[in-house]
Amino acid sequence: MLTNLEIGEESRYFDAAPTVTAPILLDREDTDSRIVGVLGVLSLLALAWVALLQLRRIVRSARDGDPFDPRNVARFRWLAATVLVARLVLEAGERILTRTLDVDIPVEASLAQTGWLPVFGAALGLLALSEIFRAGSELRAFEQETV
Amino acid sequence: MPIEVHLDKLLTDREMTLTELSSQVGITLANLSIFKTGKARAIRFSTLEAICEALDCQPADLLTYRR
Repeated sequence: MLTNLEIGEESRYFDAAPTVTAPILLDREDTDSRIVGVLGVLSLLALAWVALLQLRRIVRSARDGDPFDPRNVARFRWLAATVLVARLVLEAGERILTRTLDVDIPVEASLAQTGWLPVFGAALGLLALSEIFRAGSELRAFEQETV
Repeated sequence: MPIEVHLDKLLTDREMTLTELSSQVGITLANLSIFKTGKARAIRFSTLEAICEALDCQPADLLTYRR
């Protein structure tokens, strides 16, 4: 069993540096990382608030019996944008934290639980929904102007 | 819009108001008003039939096409 491996001596025992996934607690004196963390959390909270607001308005219009309100088209597009921006915020946070973390060993911060593909999939799904609602609202407008 | 609606003239000739026509054909006053002002995007055949029956006219009396 290997114990007390000195930093920089990994190559004596391993062909490639082993990677370990572990949570990191930010040190009280690591203010840069803490600021990045707080800003990141605040950004994500703001994005979540925007997304919930749009969702609430969409649900309310459906409950009022008029889901094909033309404003819902823009709301779905905002949701798609919010999903993408949230993933961008996480990506930016990872890159900044990787630089600011005050640790003795090389670390790579990882905040996002998913890669880009599911996020693109979700955004495309929301954009598809916006197109469906756009067609629906046009049909609704046509129906309203049909005597 | 190239399709002209002559409902006003027909109502005047028959001495009928839009409200009376609305109650006869079963179309709301708002919809008839949209139709009369040429803002309607489409008209159902059933509506056209009802208006022609109420006004005793032909569709050509009601609608004309101008280039």
